[in-house]
Amino acid sequence: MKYGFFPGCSYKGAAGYKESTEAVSQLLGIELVEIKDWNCCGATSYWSTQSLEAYVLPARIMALAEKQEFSEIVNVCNACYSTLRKAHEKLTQDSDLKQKVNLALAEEGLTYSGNLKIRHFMEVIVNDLKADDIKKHIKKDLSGLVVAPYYGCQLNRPWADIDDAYYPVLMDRLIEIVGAKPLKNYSAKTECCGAAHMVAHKDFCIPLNNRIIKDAVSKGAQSICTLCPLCQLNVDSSQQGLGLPKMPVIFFTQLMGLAFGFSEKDLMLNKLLTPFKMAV
Amino acid sequence: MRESIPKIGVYVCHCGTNISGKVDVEAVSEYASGLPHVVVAKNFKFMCSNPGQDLVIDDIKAKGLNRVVVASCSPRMHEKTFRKACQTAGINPYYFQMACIREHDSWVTEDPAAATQKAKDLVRGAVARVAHHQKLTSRVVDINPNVLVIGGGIAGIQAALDIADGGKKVYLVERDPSIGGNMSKFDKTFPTLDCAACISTPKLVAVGQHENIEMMTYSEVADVSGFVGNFTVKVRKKPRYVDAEKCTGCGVCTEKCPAKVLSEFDHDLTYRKAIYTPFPQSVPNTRVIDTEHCLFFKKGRCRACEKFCEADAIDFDQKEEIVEINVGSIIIATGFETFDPTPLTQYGFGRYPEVYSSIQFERINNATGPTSGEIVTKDGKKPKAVAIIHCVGSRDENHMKYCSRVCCMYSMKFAHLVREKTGAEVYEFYIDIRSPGKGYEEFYNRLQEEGTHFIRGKVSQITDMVDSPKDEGRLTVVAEDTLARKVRRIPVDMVVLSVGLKPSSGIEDIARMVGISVDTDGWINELHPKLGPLATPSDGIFVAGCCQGPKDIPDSVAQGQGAAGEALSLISRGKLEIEAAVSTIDPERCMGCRQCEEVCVYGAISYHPALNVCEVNEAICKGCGNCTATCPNKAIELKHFNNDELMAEVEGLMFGPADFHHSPDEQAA
Repeated sequence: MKYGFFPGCSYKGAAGYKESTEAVSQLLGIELVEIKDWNCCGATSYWSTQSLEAYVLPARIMALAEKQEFSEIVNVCNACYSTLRKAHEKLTQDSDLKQKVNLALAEEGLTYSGNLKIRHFMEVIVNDLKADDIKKHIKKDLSGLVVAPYYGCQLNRPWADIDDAYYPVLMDRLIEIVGAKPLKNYSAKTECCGAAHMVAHKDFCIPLNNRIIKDAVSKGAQSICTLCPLCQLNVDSSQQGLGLPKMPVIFFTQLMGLAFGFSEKDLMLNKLLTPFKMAV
Repeated sequence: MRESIPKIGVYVCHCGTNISGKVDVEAVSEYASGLPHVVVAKNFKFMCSNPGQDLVIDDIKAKGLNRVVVASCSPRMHEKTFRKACQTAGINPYYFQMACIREHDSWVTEDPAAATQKAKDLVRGAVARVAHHQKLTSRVVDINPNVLVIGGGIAGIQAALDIADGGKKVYLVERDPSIGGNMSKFDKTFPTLDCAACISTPKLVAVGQHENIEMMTYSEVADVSGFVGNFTVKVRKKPRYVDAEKCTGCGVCTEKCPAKVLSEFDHDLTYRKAIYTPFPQSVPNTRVIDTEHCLFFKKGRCRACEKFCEADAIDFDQKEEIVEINVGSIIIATGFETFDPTPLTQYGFGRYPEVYSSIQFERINNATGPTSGEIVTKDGKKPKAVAIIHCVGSRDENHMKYCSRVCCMYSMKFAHLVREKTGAEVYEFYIDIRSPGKGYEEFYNRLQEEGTHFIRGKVSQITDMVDSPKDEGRLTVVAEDTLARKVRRIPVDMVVLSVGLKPSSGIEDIARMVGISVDTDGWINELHPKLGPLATPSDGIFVAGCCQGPKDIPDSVAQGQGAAGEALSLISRGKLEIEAAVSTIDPERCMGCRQCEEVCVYGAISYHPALNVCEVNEAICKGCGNCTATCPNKAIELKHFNNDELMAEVEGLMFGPADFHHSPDEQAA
């Protein structure tokens, strides 16, 4: 299985996301081919200030993908996913906007036709693979591990077509498939982590992360599982001084890697602020 | 093909100034007098008045008129009036034609000259048409005085009782094991707070005991055929596996039954047995076996009920029965069901034990409910704070766009009951408070004085994540307070979701059987939203209560009584005249393709396989013309709208006799 891959700016910097994604996808036979010459998607903040330019950034990525003959772009970040998806939806509905954006892209000899599918890697794994094809790689028993599935707020909003907007279950299923226990009734599943506001409005964002962690701790999770580098960083980094037990926040690919028998070092679980070792 | 040499009288109405204010009526009548076959043309202030009608009658008698045209309002207003005048004067009522120069002309035309011209055109068309009219006679049929009421909720019960009290036979069909409907689940009713059971139970008993009512519970309407006055209805009686004649209603069987099933009546808050009655005051009190959960039906053993029944009433061999009944009219009163809030995942219904739907909360408040009427959490604690969320499912683009009309009021009733029974703080989250009704606004004012907190804002989330450690175990309701302009996070112990009303499942089947339609939301379309609220486009089919749209109890009861009145009025007539303008199929030309049958929305056309032809039931046909236009072989003629008549009218409208009005140049243009 071959997909166009958009890593996004924070993929390499995130603790072990790249390493675990590569390890897991290779094992599962998923070929993630990086889109050549990609740029930053602009994330969520650019929309609010410059709207036309904010469309050109993701459109360029999608145009490149089309030129490189991909039919799908796989993301590993919620913000990238929602930015690309939003641009895609808008451009396919608004022909005036598409014309303007394509005019800008023409400078580089690019054009976006709108025939792409924007996807998230987690959803790709759950929907495109058979559960048994994942299970057959399991080497390590994780049945004692209770994992809180933290989706963040952007994966299913506003579309809610791959999963429920408020109470999604796809990652719950994945956790179950790799043999761990998804935390039942995890209410903070889709709470916002504050995203980039953590930099400028830390005071507002800490209580948000507090909820995400507290709900996982109080309901008995040993770890929180995320699918977005910024979610991971925010939840991981705001635990100082909350007065709660420290909770490791890992990527879903790291969890899969653990089940598949990769070492903590291979998956760079030691690079987390709250290292995974402490919990298991 | 004319029946006789036409002698036409034309009468132009002023309608006060409604017509004459725009149309030069004098000029129109003068113009009409020059049209072919017109013997006399007059104008008059009010043609519908007695002197106006006398004008027509006298001229028919004195001048030997055999065709009449009145140019006035819409035929929907006065066609019948003038047909009757023609009949009185001794000519066939179908020798009359109306030209609509009010609704289609004077009311909608600005320029008087143009309005006058259009009136002349319309009159010319009517004159050309009426010359081709044929003599038609309408048929008279007897009306069967029996009435079928579908649905045993409060609307259907009221209708059945009124008709039965009027001395007529009623069949009351209810698909549940007991009559009573949704109302029997309620505790208090707004705004007077009288007890629902106290006012409805006597009615249930009265239905059960009435000699003129034949109750058919645990039964469904399977098929309806026939027409107004003469319907044949097939009713499917589901097997109860309990002999109603023998069962004394003692309840020992229920006591001994080992199977536990979530109670539909308590909306999953309690368990019932596999042999059960929905609620203690069920009418009839005959038990029914739920075969899906009965151990004997599932695994072939148990029969505890049979063993313990002293009356020997258990009968495992009962079979489904189809009963045929004949009635003259049908009242549909299938009511509503409540919206299931599970898809609104942000409210956590089904996930958080203390989130209730409003119909569940009705049961909690009810003395026969899961907590015997006490308002307590599932842990048995008295709540300190309760949130009531309005418009759950209603006024929501994703679910039901309409307002369900009753939720504001029942939500406030809940607030009152919570305050009264527990003293808890009550937070009502609303979009707008809608309290139109007698004593309703006063009830809202009373609630405000009682100290209920009204927060204007749609709740975005209900969560078990609390902000303060002292609220651990409670729920947090998150909403933007749009009056105070801030986000509220209010800790509460119980949440009530005030869910909206939607049509009962199966309503489309019933509508299809009787040849009526439902609107985009699934409610039944009444004949006219203002002037025909209880009738439907199918004669003899009436509606009452929530099947037509969300309603409270007073409105449902009023409609039940109204529909009973409609049915009794029909019965009192005894006979029914059937419109003569219906379709007929020429069997010589029909090739049995059945396309007409498909397009007939009234179910008036049936196919005879032996003859390979279709046939119109004149009593059901409404003369809409769908079949006539569809027939590929031109085998269908719609009386009073046949080709001669229509072509003459169109030619009259379009061209007119050149020597009268249009110059040859104009005609060519």
